[in-house]
Amino acid sequence: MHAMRWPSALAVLVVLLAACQVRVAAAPDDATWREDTDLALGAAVSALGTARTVLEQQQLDRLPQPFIDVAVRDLVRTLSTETASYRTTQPPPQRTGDSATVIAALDEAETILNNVVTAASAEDAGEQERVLAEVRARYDEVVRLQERLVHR
Amino acid sequence: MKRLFAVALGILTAIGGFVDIGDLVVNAQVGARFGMSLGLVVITGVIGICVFAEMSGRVTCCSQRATFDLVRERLGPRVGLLNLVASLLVTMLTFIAEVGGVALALSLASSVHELLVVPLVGLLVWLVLWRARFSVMENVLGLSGLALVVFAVALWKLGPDWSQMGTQLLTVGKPGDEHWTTWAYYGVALFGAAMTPYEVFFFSSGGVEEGWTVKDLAVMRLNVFLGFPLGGLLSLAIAGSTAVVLGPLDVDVATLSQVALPVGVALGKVGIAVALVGFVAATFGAACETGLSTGYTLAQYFGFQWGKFVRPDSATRFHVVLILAVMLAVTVLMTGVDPILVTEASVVASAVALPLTYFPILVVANDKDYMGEHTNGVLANTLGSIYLVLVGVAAAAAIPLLVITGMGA
Repeated sequence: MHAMRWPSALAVLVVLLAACQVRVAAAPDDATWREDTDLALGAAVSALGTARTVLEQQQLDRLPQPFIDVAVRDLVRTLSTETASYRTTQPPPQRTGDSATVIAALDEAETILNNVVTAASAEDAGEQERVLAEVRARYDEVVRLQERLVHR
Repeated sequence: MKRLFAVALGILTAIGGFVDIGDLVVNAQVGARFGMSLGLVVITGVIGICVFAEMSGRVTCCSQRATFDLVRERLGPRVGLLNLVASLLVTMLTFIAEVGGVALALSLASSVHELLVVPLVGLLVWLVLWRARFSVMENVLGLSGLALVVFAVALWKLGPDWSQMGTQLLTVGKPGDEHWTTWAYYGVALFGAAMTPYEVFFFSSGGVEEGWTVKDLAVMRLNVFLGFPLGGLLSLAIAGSTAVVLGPLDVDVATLSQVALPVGVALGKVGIAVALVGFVAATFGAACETGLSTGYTLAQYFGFQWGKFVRPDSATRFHVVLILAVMLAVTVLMTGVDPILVTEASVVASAVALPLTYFPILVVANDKDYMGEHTNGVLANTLGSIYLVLVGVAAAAAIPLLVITGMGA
């Protein structure tokens, strides 16, 4: 009975190690880089899209202030995590330039989201309008970048 | 009249109590990414939970004993222990997610950081588990959870293309830019969220708390067959509203504020206020249910006195387990772990543990010694067997899909 348990335990161990291998030791090939880039730029698109909706609704006075404060704070946190994770990925040699472009785009998105946090908590409608325009423009740019680098 | 009121109350609390943090988060994520294309999974999961909750409730009505108690007696301590370990781990993970969910919801209402709210939530949950009467706890939180109907109102107000939504709901398909593996991963997560194991343990133990007998079979069935499906409609409404508002913007739902945002777009500040009441009630109610379930499963396996129908000093070990569970949940959350991530992990873990939970119930529900003339009929056994295959497939696929998709990324 005990002898029967070892093969099962070994099989489980092999599966777990294989799973770790899939996530940890992936070579920096183009497909993996595109997946990582898709994830990071997708996070930026998601955060900017949400920020855009929040600011639009704030201008119409349709969201409570505590909700807005937490919503935009969460967006910065989520994108920061994704950006930090993306910085640790190693691009394949032919993608070094593209990778730098992606990191710059993520940094820019983070900066804009920090502006959103400030504008959303202030009562300056003009500033909110300006930041909203920035968010919309950056959203479109990141979508185009994602399309160019990942989906083509 | 009194009977009618009891039935209506039971159905309403079943609707309000159906949705928990797992349903909120996963349905919102799926709606934003896949539209209504995984709606059939929700429907399948709701039918499944109805089948096994009815079985579990019937066991309690006939034997006046909770399912877990009978599983150990009928299948022996070894199988019982396997069942206990799997269920307890998943229930504890779900409990942590629910406590975190309450903190997130209160944080949205107050803008106080959730880490500052977590200890207060832990204290409140423990006070309710210790002092509140079972029926008061269930009815107040279940009825407050009905506030989540605001998602259905929001969906109606958003005016989606209903025919397109209906087509998506009834066909198996995915958006072009998504992988089938990711689609399948979220399918398993949705299935796990709809058929969470603690629901059946809580349902049967709750039946013992409320003193169900064979006379209560009809009311119990009405609660299950009306309340749960209507609760499932709330899940679909959550998915529908994020599909309309967040889907076109390619938003990937990662926070509770994103779950509520479509309600704000549709109904403004009042809508958000009602949604937050619903969030707090649904997650607090589920936190109480999962907290109690940790005590129920341990007490029923080891055979010590349990329940809120006896004074706390008569069930000291049961209450010690509840205190320890609350302390563990608060400690884990105070490390700063994201409650949404814990939620995602808990629904996948639920999917893995499903066969260990549901197979013993099917066995006990067929045992004449416990059930007398109320053993499973052909329909219950057929559906039960079909669902055992389904939960087996979901359990086997859950971990590989989690690894392959990088947790649905």
